[in-house]
Amino acid sequence: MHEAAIAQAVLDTALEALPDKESRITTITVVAGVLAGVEEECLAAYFNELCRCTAAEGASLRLVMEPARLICKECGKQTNYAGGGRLALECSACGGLNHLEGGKALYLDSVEVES
Amino acid sequence: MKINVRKPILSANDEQAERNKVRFKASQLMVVNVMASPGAGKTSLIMRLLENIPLEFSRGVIEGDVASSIDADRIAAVGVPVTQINTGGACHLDAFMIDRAMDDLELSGPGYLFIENIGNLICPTNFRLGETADMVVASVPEGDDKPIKYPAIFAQADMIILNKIDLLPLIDFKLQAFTAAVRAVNEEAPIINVSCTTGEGVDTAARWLLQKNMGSV
Repeated sequence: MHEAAIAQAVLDTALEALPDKESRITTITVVAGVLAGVEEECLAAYFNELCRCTAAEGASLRLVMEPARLICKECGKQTNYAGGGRLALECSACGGLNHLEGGKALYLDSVEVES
Repeated sequence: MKINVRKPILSANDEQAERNKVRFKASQLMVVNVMASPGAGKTSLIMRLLENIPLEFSRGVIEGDVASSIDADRIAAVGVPVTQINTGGACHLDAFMIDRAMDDLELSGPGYLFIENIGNLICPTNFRLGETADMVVASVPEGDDKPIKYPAIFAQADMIILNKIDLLPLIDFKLQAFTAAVRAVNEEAPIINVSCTTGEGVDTAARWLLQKNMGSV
Protein backbone atom coordinates (compact mmCIF):
# COMPACT_ATOMS: atom_id res chain seq x y z
CA MET A 1 0.00 0.00 0.00
CA HIS A 2 2.99 2.30 -0.50
CA GLU A 3 1.02 3.25 -3.62
CA ALA A 4 -0.86 5.73 -1.40
CA ALA A 5 2.36 7.63 -0.74
CA ILE A 6 3.39 7.34 -4.37
CA ALA A 7 -0.03 8.55 -5.60
CA GLN A 8 0.24 11.61 -3.35
CA ALA A 9 3.75 12.31 -4.65
CA VAL A 10 2.57 11.93 -8.26
CA LEU A 11 -0.21 14.42 -7.63
CA ASP A 12 2.08 16.91 -5.82
CA THR A 13 4.69 16.72 -8.58
CA ALA A 14 2.06 17.17 -11.30
CA LEU A 15 0.42 20.14 -9.57
CA GLU A 16 3.83 21.80 -9.18
CA ALA A 17 4.32 21.56 -12.92
CA LEU A 18 1.17 23.54 -13.73
CA PRO A 19 1.93 26.83 -15.49
CA ASP A 20 -0.89 28.80 -13.82
CA LYS A 21 -3.82 28.44 -11.43
CA GLU A 22 -6.43 28.22 -14.18
CA SER A 23 -4.92 25.19 -15.91
CA ARG A 24 -6.42 21.78 -15.37
CA ILE A 25 -4.62 18.49 -15.77
CA THR A 26 -6.20 15.99 -18.15
CA THR A 27 -3.53 13.28 -18.34
CA ILE A 28 -0.53 12.40 -16.22
CA THR A 29 2.12 10.02 -17.54
CA VAL A 30 4.27 8.16 -15.05
CA VAL A 31 7.17 5.88 -15.94
CA ALA A 32 7.80 3.04 -13.50
CA GLY A 33 10.38 0.28 -13.72
CA VAL A 34 9.13 -3.25 -13.15
CA LEU A 35 11.25 -3.41 -9.99
CA ALA A 36 9.85 -0.15 -8.58
CA GLY A 37 7.01 -2.14 -7.03
CA VAL A 38 4.11 -0.06 -8.31
CA GLU A 39 0.83 -1.82 -8.92
CA GLU A 40 -1.23 0.01 -11.53
CA GLU A 41 -4.78 -0.54 -10.29
CA CYS A 42 -3.82 0.17 -6.72
CA LEU A 43 -2.02 3.39 -7.72
CA ALA A 44 -5.00 4.54 -9.82
CA ALA A 45 -7.45 3.91 -6.99
CA TYR A 46 -5.53 6.09 -4.56
CA PHE A 47 -4.82 8.67 -7.25
CA ASN A 48 -8.49 9.10 -8.16
CA GLU A 49 -9.40 9.72 -4.53
CA LEU A 50 -6.56 12.16 -3.89
CA CYS A 51 -7.30 14.19 -7.04
CA ARG A 52 -10.71 15.29 -5.84
CA CYS A 53 -11.06 19.05 -5.50
CA THR A 54 -7.67 19.67 -7.12
CA ALA A 55 -6.70 20.84 -10.61
CA ALA A 56 -6.19 17.18 -11.47
CA GLU A 57 -9.73 16.04 -10.64
CA GLY A 58 -10.85 13.57 -13.30
CA ALA A 59 -7.39 13.35 -14.87
CA SER A 60 -6.37 10.01 -16.27
CA LEU A 61 -3.18 8.40 -15.03
CA ARG A 62 -1.04 6.64 -17.64
CA LEU A 63 1.51 4.24 -16.23
CA VAL A 64 4.27 3.24 -18.62
CA MET A 65 6.10 0.18 -17.33
CA GLU A 66 9.81 0.02 -18.08
CA PRO A 67 11.34 -3.48 -18.23
CA ALA A 68 14.51 -4.56 -16.48
CA ARG A 69 17.25 -6.39 -18.37
CA LEU A 70 18.68 -9.83 -17.75
CA ILE A 71 22.27 -9.97 -18.94
CA CYS A 72 24.16 -13.26 -19.09
CA LYS A 73 27.52 -12.99 -17.34
CA GLU A 74 28.95 -15.68 -19.62
CA CYS A 75 27.82 -14.85 -23.15
CA GLY A 76 26.34 -11.37 -22.67
CA LYS A 77 22.94 -12.25 -24.13
CA GLN A 78 20.35 -9.70 -23.04
CA THR A 79 16.66 -10.34 -22.48
CA ASN A 80 13.98 -8.08 -21.11
CA TYR A 81 12.35 -8.90 -17.80
CA ALA A 82 8.86 -7.43 -17.81
CA GLY A 83 8.01 -8.39 -14.24
CA GLY A 84 5.68 -11.23 -13.37
CA GLY A 85 6.54 -14.84 -14.04
CA ARG A 86 9.68 -16.38 -12.70
CA LEU A 87 12.92 -14.45 -12.90
CA ALA A 88 15.20 -16.54 -15.12
CA LEU A 89 18.44 -17.08 -13.23
CA GLU A 90 20.04 -18.94 -16.12
CA CYS A 91 20.70 -17.72 -19.66
CA SER A 92 18.44 -19.35 -22.21
CA ALA A 93 21.30 -19.53 -24.73
CA CYS A 94 24.29 -20.85 -22.77
CA GLY A 95 23.01 -21.68 -19.25
CA GLY A 96 25.30 -19.09 -17.63
CA LEU A 97 24.16 -17.03 -14.67
CA ASN A 98 22.09 -13.97 -15.51
CA HIS A 99 22.46 -10.59 -13.85
CA LEU A 100 19.48 -8.27 -13.45
CA GLU A 101 19.88 -4.60 -14.25
CA GLY A 102 17.63 -1.53 -14.48
CA GLY A 103 13.88 -1.49 -13.96
CA LYS A 104 14.03 0.88 -11.02
CA ALA A 105 12.86 4.11 -12.65
CA LEU A 106 10.01 6.02 -11.04
CA TYR A 107 9.37 9.44 -12.46
CA LEU A 108 6.68 11.79 -13.70
CA ASP A 109 7.22 11.97 -17.43
CA SER A 110 4.68 14.57 -18.49
CA VAL A 111 1.34 16.22 -17.83
CA GLU A 112 -1.24 17.29 -20.36
CA VAL A 113 -3.09 20.42 -19.39
CA GLU A 114 -5.96 22.54 -20.70
CA SER A 115 -6.66 26.13 -19.73
CA MET B 1 -0.78 21.28 -24.09
CA LYS B 2 1.79 18.75 -23.02
CA ILE B 3 4.38 19.67 -20.41
CA ASN B 4 7.44 17.46 -20.10
CA VAL B 5 8.29 17.16 -16.43
CA ARG B 6 10.71 14.22 -16.14
CA LYS B 7 11.03 14.56 -12.39
CA PRO B 8 11.51 11.71 -9.90
CA ILE B 9 8.22 11.12 -8.13
CA LEU B 10 9.77 10.64 -4.72
CA SER B 11 12.06 13.67 -5.04
CA ALA B 12 10.67 15.31 -1.86
CA ASN B 13 11.61 12.18 0.10
CA ASP B 14 14.95 11.89 -1.69
CA GLU B 15 15.80 15.50 -0.81
CA GLN B 16 14.92 14.93 2.86
CA ALA B 17 17.04 11.75 2.79
CA GLU B 18 19.97 13.86 1.58
CA ARG B 19 19.44 16.28 4.48
CA ASN B 20 19.31 13.32 6.87
CA LYS B 21 22.57 12.06 5.41
CA VAL B 22 24.23 15.41 6.13
CA ARG B 23 22.85 15.35 9.67
CA PHE B 24 24.09 11.78 10.28
CA LYS B 25 27.51 12.63 8.94
CA ALA B 26 27.74 15.74 11.13
CA SER B 27 26.80 13.57 14.14
CA GLN B 28 29.36 10.91 13.08
CA LEU B 29 26.72 8.22 12.95
CA MET B 30 26.76 5.16 10.77
CA VAL B 31 23.13 4.47 9.98
CA VAL B 32 21.93 1.00 9.00
CA ASN B 33 18.50 0.56 7.41
CA VAL B 34 17.42 -2.95 8.42
CA MET B 35 14.82 -4.40 6.06
CA ALA B 36 13.17 -7.83 6.04
CA SER B 37 9.84 -9.60 6.04
CA PRO B 38 7.95 -9.87 9.35
CA GLY B 39 9.49 -12.48 11.60
CA ALA B 40 12.87 -12.72 9.84
CA GLY B 41 14.57 -11.63 13.05
CA LYS B 42 15.28 -7.91 12.56
CA THR B 43 14.94 -6.98 16.24
CA SER B 44 16.89 -10.02 17.43
CA LEU B 45 19.66 -9.28 14.96
CA ILE B 46 19.84 -5.61 15.96
CA MET B 47 20.07 -6.65 19.61
CA ARG B 48 22.86 -9.11 18.81
CA LEU B 49 24.75 -6.49 16.80
CA LEU B 50 24.39 -3.91 19.57
CA GLU B 51 26.16 -6.37 21.91
CA ASN B 52 29.04 -6.61 19.44
CA ILE B 53 29.71 -2.90 19.01
CA PRO B 54 32.68 -1.70 21.06
CA LEU B 55 31.66 0.38 24.07
CA GLU B 56 33.48 3.51 22.91
CA PHE B 57 30.75 4.01 20.31
CA SER B 58 27.31 5.41 21.02
CA ARG B 59 24.35 3.26 19.98
CA GLY B 60 20.73 3.96 19.15
CA VAL B 61 17.74 2.40 17.46
CA ILE B 62 14.72 3.75 15.61
CA GLU B 63 11.97 1.13 15.63
CA GLY B 64 9.38 1.23 12.88
CA ASP B 65 6.18 -0.71 13.36
CA VAL B 66 2.63 -0.39 12.13
CA ALA B 67 1.48 -0.56 15.76
CA SER B 68 2.75 -1.39 19.26
CA SER B 69 6.02 -0.74 21.07
CA ILE B 70 6.92 -4.41 21.61
CA ASP B 71 10.21 -4.17 19.70
CA ALA B 72 11.17 -0.81 21.20
CA ASP B 73 10.52 -2.19 24.69
CA ARG B 74 12.95 -5.04 24.01
CA ILE B 75 15.67 -2.56 22.98
CA ALA B 76 14.95 -0.22 25.91
CA ALA B 77 15.21 -3.17 28.31
CA VAL B 78 18.91 -3.55 27.47
CA GLY B 79 19.54 0.16 28.08
CA VAL B 80 19.99 1.35 24.48
CA PRO B 81 18.30 4.64 23.49
CA VAL B 82 15.35 3.89 21.23
CA THR B 83 12.53 5.81 19.55
CA GLN B 84 9.40 4.12 18.28
CA ILE B 85 7.68 5.20 15.08
CA ASN B 86 4.17 3.82 14.66
CA THR B 87 3.06 4.33 11.09
CA GLY B 88 -0.54 3.38 11.83
CA GLY B 89 -0.86 1.29 8.69
CA ALA B 90 1.76 2.70 6.33
CA CYS B 91 4.02 -0.06 5.12
CA HIS B 92 7.37 1.76 5.10
CA LEU B 93 9.34 4.45 6.88
CA ASP B 94 10.17 7.64 5.00
CA ALA B 95 12.89 10.25 5.38
CA PHE B 96 10.60 12.76 7.12
CA MET B 97 9.70 10.25 9.85
CA ILE B 98 13.40 9.63 10.45
CA ASP B 99 14.07 13.38 10.73
CA ARG B 100 11.41 13.70 13.44
CA ALA B 101 12.58 10.54 15.23
CA MET B 102 16.13 11.94 15.32
CA ASP B 103 14.83 15.01 17.18
CA ASP B 104 13.48 12.63 19.85
CA LEU B 105 16.50 10.38 20.01
CA GLU B 106 19.17 13.08 20.43
CA LEU B 107 21.94 10.64 19.51
CA SER B 108 25.43 11.86 18.76
CA GLY B 109 28.44 9.89 17.62
CA PRO B 110 30.75 8.52 16.86
CA GLY B 111 28.37 5.65 16.89
CA TYR B 112 25.80 3.42 15.26
CA LEU B 113 22.13 3.96 14.58
CA PHE B 114 19.99 1.03 13.49
CA ILE B 115 16.68 1.78 11.82
CA GLU B 116 14.30 -1.18 11.88
CA ASN B 117 12.04 -0.68 8.89
CA ILE B 118 8.48 -1.98 8.64
CA GLY B 119 8.44 -5.72 7.99
CA ASN B 120 7.96 -6.31 4.29
CA LEU B 121 10.13 -6.82 1.24
CA ILE B 122 8.42 -4.41 -1.16
CA CYS B 123 7.46 -1.02 0.16
CA PRO B 124 10.65 0.10 1.97
CA THR B 125 12.58 -0.29 -1.30
CA ASN B 126 11.51 3.04 -2.79
CA PHE B 127 12.02 5.27 0.23
CA ARG B 128 15.58 6.39 0.96
CA LEU B 129 16.14 7.42 4.57
CA GLY B 130 19.64 8.90 4.31
CA GLU B 131 21.19 5.67 5.58
CA THR B 132 24.85 4.70 5.29
CA ALA B 133 24.06 1.08 4.49
CA ASP B 134 21.08 -1.09 3.58
CA MET B 135 20.97 -4.40 5.41
CA VAL B 136 18.49 -6.97 4.13
CA VAL B 137 17.74 -9.91 6.40
CA ALA B 138 16.43 -13.16 4.97
CA SER B 139 15.78 -16.20 7.14
CA VAL B 140 15.92 -19.92 6.49
CA PRO B 141 12.21 -20.69 7.13
CA GLU B 142 11.21 -18.18 4.42
CA GLY B 143 12.78 -20.38 1.75
CA ASP B 144 15.69 -19.91 -0.65
CA ASP B 145 13.67 -18.26 -3.40
CA LYS B 146 13.09 -14.86 -1.77
CA PRO B 147 15.69 -12.99 -3.88
CA ILE B 148 13.87 -14.19 -7.02
CA LYS B 149 10.47 -13.17 -5.73
CA TYR B 150 11.59 -9.81 -4.37
CA PRO B 151 14.56 -8.86 -6.54
CA ALA B 152 14.46 -5.09 -5.97
CA ILE B 153 15.19 -5.13 -2.25
CA PHE B 154 18.02 -7.66 -2.59
CA ALA B 155 19.46 -5.64 -5.49
CA GLN B 156 19.87 -2.53 -3.37
CA ALA B 157 21.32 -4.26 -0.29
CA ASP B 158 24.84 -3.39 0.81
CA MET B 159 24.84 -6.41 3.10
CA ILE B 160 22.64 -9.51 3.21
CA ILE B 161 22.14 -11.51 6.38
CA LEU B 162 20.80 -15.04 6.23
CA ASN B 163 19.35 -15.56 9.71
CA LYS B 164 18.22 -18.70 11.56
CA ILE B 165 20.90 -20.93 10.04
CA ASP B 166 20.59 -23.15 13.12
CA LEU B 167 17.37 -24.39 11.44
CA LEU B 168 19.14 -25.55 8.25
CA PRO B 169 19.08 -29.25 9.28
CA LEU B 170 15.31 -29.08 9.70
CA ILE B 171 14.24 -27.18 6.61
CA ASP B 172 14.57 -27.74 2.89
CA PHE B 173 16.64 -24.64 2.20
CA LYS B 174 19.42 -24.83 -0.38
CA LEU B 175 22.23 -22.44 0.48
CA GLN B 176 23.64 -22.66 -3.02
CA ALA B 177 20.29 -21.78 -4.60
CA PHE B 178 19.94 -18.80 -2.27
CA THR B 179 23.43 -17.55 -3.11
CA ALA B 180 22.85 -17.97 -6.85
CA ALA B 181 19.57 -16.05 -6.61
CA VAL B 182 21.20 -13.22 -4.67
CA ARG B 183 24.10 -13.03 -7.13
CA ALA B 184 21.70 -12.70 -10.05
CA VAL B 185 20.49 -9.40 -8.65
CA ASN B 186 23.44 -8.27 -6.51
CA GLU B 187 27.05 -9.14 -7.31
CA GLU B 188 28.67 -7.11 -4.56
CA ALA B 189 26.92 -7.46 -1.20
CA PRO B 190 28.42 -9.91 1.28
CA ILE B 191 26.07 -12.70 2.37
CA ILE B 192 26.62 -13.45 6.04
CA ASN B 193 25.10 -16.54 7.66
CA VAL B 194 23.86 -15.83 11.15
CA SER B 195 21.93 -17.44 13.96
CA CYS B 196 20.62 -15.00 16.52
CA THR B 197 19.75 -18.00 18.69
CA THR B 198 23.25 -19.48 18.89
CA GLY B 199 25.13 -16.25 18.10
CA GLU B 200 26.95 -17.85 15.14
CA GLY B 201 28.08 -15.32 12.54
CA VAL B 202 27.05 -12.26 14.50
CA ASP B 203 30.69 -11.24 15.06
CA THR B 204 31.31 -11.43 11.31
CA ALA B 205 28.33 -9.16 10.63
CA ALA B 206 29.42 -6.70 13.32
CA ARG B 207 32.97 -6.68 11.94
CA TRP B 208 31.64 -5.81 8.48
CA LEU B 209 29.75 -2.84 9.95
CA LEU B 210 32.83 -1.61 11.81
CA GLN B 211 34.95 -1.86 8.66
CA LYS B 212 32.31 -0.15 6.54
CA ASN B 213 32.03 2.61 9.14
CA MET B 214 35.74 3.35 9.05
CA GLY B 215 35.48 3.85 5.33
CA SER B 216 32.46 6.14 5.36
CA VAL B 217 31.96 8.22 8.49
